[in-house]
Amino acid sequence: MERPRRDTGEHQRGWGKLWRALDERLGLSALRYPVPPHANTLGYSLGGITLVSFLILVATGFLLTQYYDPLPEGANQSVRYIITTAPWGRLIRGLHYWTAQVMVLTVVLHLLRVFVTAAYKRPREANWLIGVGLLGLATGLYFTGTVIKWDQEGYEAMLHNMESARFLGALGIWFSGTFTRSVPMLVRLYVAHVSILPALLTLVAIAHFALVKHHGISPSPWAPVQPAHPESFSRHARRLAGYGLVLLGELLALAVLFPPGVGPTPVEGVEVTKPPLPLLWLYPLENWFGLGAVFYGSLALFLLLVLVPFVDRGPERLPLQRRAILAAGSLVVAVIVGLIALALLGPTAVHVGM
Amino acid sequence: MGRSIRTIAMLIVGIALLAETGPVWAHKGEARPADAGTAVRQALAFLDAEPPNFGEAAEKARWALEAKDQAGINRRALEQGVEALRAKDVARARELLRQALASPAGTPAGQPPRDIAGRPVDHRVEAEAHHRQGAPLDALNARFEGRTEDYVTLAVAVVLAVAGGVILRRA
Repeated sequence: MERPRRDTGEHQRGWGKLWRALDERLGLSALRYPVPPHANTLGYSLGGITLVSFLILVATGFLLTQYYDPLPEGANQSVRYIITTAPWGRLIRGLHYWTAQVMVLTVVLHLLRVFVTAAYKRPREANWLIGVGLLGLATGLYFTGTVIKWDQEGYEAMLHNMESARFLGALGIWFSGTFTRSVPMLVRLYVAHVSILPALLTLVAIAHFALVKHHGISPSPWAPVQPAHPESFSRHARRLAGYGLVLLGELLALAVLFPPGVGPTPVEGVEVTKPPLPLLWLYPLENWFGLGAVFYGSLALFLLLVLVPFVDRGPERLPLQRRAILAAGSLVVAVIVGLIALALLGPTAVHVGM
Repeated sequence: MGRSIRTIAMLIVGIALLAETGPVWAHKGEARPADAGTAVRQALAFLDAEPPNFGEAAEKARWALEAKDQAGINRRALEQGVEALRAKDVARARELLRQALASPAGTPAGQPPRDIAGRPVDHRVEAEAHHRQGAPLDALNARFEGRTEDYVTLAVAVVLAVAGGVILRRA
């Protein structure tokens, strides 16, 4: 006997009933806010895509911690175990690696989109600063992730971390090898990678999203008047889910087709690698001016980012009306791209005292 | 048009010249390791670098030959490795240097580690400790292997991407 098909209206009512029941108990409707149509474009969804990336990183990170040994004697070997032996280990690590690359990329693209569309202007200055903090935390996660695979690249990155401590003075004590003799530096950076930095990033991201909800999604410079009938948050969430699924599919394909390997176990006393791409722009600065340039170069970039909403305070939002600030931003981007090109073309160099 | 091409060409030449500028100010010099085992591994690290640094590798191998502490070293393989480096036979040199470390267990820890102030600390021996365990010297280069689970995962990836595309189209 053919089962009667459920009426769509009844189906809708069923979901509506479930939603109301959940909302009554969990207050889910508090997450809803009106969304302007432009917020459903890819450019305005980069923050949401970054969130999806972070969730993938957390999920794959949970699995990787089951097999990773953070002690120096076993770290590199455990990464090899993950790649060769652990169930689905190569895929999970590949997914983690490629998602990290994508997250750094989407964070930077999101920042550039906010910069170009002047979304940092009043009343969103604080949220811009929080976003700059999130960029710093994401960079920290990328850096510590580079260290803990514990090959020559990771070891040299850790040495830079320890040597950089001197430029921070008393503030840098946590980054130095003398902070404690009871726990190896590698273990401390591992703890930062799996606990301290993700916890901080989660808290700061919650503040970021709370302010997005409070102020609403920033207006488009090309459609500054808020529409009379904004779109529903559920459509925005559905589109984010769509972007998330496309991203997950692409990341899975990358993880299978181009799985990341791991270098030989590190040896002390030499410096033979260059930093990974997101940190590569600092390499020529270090070549020319020494290790301090890594600290001062990063500081200068973050200082410039912090200054943006305080320098560009006018009401203009269209790019053509903000030529000076956009020219300055373009110059910074060009310098960073140029430095990356220099680093790619140049030889490796010794920086830290061996 | 011609002016633009000249400008671009000058920029490229300028970048190439800057890239070749040596890291004179940054170079702090390298301490010669007390034991041959560390020097051999340093030579291998330079051979494994991208691109391989042949000159530095040869120097480290020479240090290994001259080191007072030869514990755990296959001296004959090391000497042949140095010869291979002189002959610029990188593949053979790599193989022989690995053979020279055939019994790394028992290799002493090398020079005492220092902190940034020059005081001895334990953290710098983290890499060394790993080698005392006979850790692998080769990179593990993972690549697509075309196994059944790889193709299943690729199929799942396509399904997810298509599902995401459908949602984006409808929403």
